[in-house]
Amino acid sequence: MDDGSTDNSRNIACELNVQALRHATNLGKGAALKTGVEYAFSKGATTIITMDGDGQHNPKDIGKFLKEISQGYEVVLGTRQCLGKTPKIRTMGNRTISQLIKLFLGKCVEDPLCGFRAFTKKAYSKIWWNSSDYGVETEQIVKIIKQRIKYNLIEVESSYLDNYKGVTIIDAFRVLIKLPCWFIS
Amino acid sequence: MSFLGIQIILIAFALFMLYITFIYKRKGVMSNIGFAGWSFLWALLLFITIFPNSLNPVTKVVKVIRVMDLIMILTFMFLTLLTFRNYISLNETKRKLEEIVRSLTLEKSAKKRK
Repeated sequence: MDDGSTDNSRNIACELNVQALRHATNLGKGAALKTGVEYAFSKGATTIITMDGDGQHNPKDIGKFLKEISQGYEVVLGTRQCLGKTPKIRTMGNRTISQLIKLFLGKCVEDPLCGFRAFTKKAYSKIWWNSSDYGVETEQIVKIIKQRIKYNLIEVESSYLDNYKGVTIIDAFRVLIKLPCWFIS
Repeated sequence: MSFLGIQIILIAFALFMLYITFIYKRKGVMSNIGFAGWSFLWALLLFITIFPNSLNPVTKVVKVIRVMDLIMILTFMFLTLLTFRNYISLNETKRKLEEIVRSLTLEKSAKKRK
């Protein structure tokens, strides 16, 4: 899923034996995920596995997610066990959101910002998100808990290749501002 | 009739904004109603700046001591209204843009499959 990239990503993806979709302009992670997920479901997929595009997740873990889905869980959330050094600001942001979820929804989700997840088609219809940006993971978790969807947490490998790509402090503030809206909606 | 420094700045600002409004109208990005509304607003600012005492009767009715306080209150109300309007409009535009881009992407991929 190419979210309106301006580098050579599109051409590289087209050279590989994969189906590459492209947004005409950059909409954000949440919107790109929705397009990709809906395309996959339209092709007959029954389960979706999402991974971050910065290469921090290990595809070897996909089997663990499929195993949990086959055991009847509608959603499986990854919890990162970092191999590299995680930037402190990200750890702080993750912990803050985790504590707020625990405080307001009574559930402990250690790594609410991890993008390595799996969900079924049925679950997608319940957790359909409005966030077009990096708020997508947190919105999903709030909806999963509020709608009492059967979910499980599993540990996944993760390695940070750089400190600059992905969620910035501005994105984190946006998520924090939107969090109360998701809690009460 | 002598003017205070702040009045001169406000008169210059109102005249400049009237000119900007006229340019946007000429470019065709502003409707007749929009042009009339904004021109009225700048003309009103011009009038109040030149004749501040014209608001004295209003200050007595709304129990505000100074004309300046009344203008500040009205300005804050107007800015709040504009911010709210912009917020709604921006969100709506973002939502529509997302819908269009996403549906175009899915339509394009469906055509490729055929």
